[in-house]
Amino acid sequence: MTERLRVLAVDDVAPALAELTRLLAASPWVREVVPAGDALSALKLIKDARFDAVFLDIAMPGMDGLELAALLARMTDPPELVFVTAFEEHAVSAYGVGALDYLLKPLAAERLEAALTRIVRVARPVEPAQAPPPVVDELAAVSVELGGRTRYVRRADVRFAEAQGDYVRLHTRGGSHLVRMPISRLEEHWAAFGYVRVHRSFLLAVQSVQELRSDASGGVLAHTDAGDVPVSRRHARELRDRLLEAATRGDFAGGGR
Amino acid sequence: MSFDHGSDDAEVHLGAVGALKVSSVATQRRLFRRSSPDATAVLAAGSAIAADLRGGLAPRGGDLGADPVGRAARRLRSLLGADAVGLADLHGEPAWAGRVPAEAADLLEQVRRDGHRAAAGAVVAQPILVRGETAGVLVLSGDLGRGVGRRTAEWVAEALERGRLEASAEAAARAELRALRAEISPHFVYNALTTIGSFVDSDPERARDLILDFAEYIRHSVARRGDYTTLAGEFRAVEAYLALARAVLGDRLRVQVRIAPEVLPVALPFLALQPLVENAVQHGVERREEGGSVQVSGEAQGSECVIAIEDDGPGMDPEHARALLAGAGGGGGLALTNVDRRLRAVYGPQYGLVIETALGEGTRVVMRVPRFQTGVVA
Repeated sequence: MTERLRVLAVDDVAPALAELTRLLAASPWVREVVPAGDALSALKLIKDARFDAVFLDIAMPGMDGLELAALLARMTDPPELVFVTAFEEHAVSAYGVGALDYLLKPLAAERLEAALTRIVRVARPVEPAQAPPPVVDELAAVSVELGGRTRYVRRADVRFAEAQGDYVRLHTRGGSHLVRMPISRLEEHWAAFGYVRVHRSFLLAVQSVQELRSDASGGVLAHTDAGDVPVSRRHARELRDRLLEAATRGDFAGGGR
Repeated sequence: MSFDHGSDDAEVHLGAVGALKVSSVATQRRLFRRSSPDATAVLAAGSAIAADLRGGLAPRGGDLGADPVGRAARRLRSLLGADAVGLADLHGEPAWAGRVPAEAADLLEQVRRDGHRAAAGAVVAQPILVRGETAGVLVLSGDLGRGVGRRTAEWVAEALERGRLEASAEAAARAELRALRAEISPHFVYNALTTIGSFVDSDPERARDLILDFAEYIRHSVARRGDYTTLAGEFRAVEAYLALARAVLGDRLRVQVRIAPEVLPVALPFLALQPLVENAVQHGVERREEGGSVQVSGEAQGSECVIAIEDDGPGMDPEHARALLAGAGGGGGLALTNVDRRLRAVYGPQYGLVIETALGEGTRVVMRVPRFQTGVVA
């Protein structure tokens, strides 16, 4: 793992600041959180010592978050900025001052985690030692044993993969195949090709989703022509966003596959 | 005068007013011809004047030529063949067409003070009475027939009244849409908060999740960003609402949501779907002890997106459903009426809601919206 982050949390509402600080401190990406109750003390802290990122409320008395952000933008090596606020209306101005992300109050732990992940990617470019997205696409096809013979399953045919102990089961329209490999390894190689982790044990091809179903208990299922895939609550929102992106690009123009 | 609505009546009357001014033999003869070109011109001038007066008698500043009240005065002058026509509000200078007669100022003051007709020589100042109250003054000068002043003033009053009615109807429609869009059921809010409160100790994680859902629900309901959202955004609000409703109603609410990814980017008016789901839960499930099921689906059918909301509740008389969509239902069906109206306003009359229902048979509400609508951007 890369070096962990030192972050500054700024909010004038004490309980909100406490919550933000608590959630940040709970993240494995964060080394240290420093709270600040207003923009001026935040500015002072930033001038005194280096921060990797600032999580910033917008509506504050005195100097507000956008004004502080404008000042930070003039620094030579400014910390990454993430706004935390109640109003979506502010999003445009937030990105206008160079914010990396934008979180809505009350905070959802998953969204905060996603923002931190982005900061780590941007602020700490991947070191060579750490596996980058594969340059050589070595898992475009996966070899499977079938009746004592080796066959290849093309990635393009795999709708989803399911972890089963030390194995993953690759589900295609024509059937499923067991491969000895941890699902995390498959995710590492396939993430760049439209596969997304939707559950502890499931990796799903976004484009193969024909329908998203939520049932009586609030659980979500992604329906594909190779079967249904459970989507955990903490992954449901990301999957919806990915589906919206894909649909906006026209990936489902033919009415799904 | 007895005409009370519709512009045709008014124009016919103006024709009569126009006819009163004529004295030359040639024009009188023309009156007896059917559909003479003059009649068409009179009718056109009449509508134009009515349109100019739609915004009231107060002159709107800026360029004199662009002031609609001034334009109405000029059109009236040429229609009546008057030397001068003045149209005045209750205060300020009148809008004039023609040479302003010297007597005008005094007469105008007199009418504004007394509310009665005043005349001096060839100049007549006539009160314009809207609903029995003086709303302005018409000043005419020239060799005009008897009663022309009174009739013209009455006609102007009718045009003003119609303008007022139109404006208030528009304002009411706008206010209604806005009010309905912001409608959040207090009953639901308290139930949700009570439920969240009950989880704070027993299941803090669930309480946190529900608070996030509650925030999402409220944020969507009071959103002021433009008029459109995506179906994805609307479904997010629906899911948040359903998560809360499930927490409140427990096993009594059985719900299934199915959505095809290709319709997620479809643009539709804010709160076109969520109130219908709320409506289905309220009427189909909440009022029944044994609970009920609600199914929501969204899918593509050719160039349209079809969204259906179905419950297995008590249903209703189809006549009642028809009345709801006609806006005559009141009470519980407000959400249906409102969404139906907004869809028609945005996409055209063929895109209203379709309600399939019968007593004891549940209710299915179907909405169709174009998948690709030019000029509609969420």
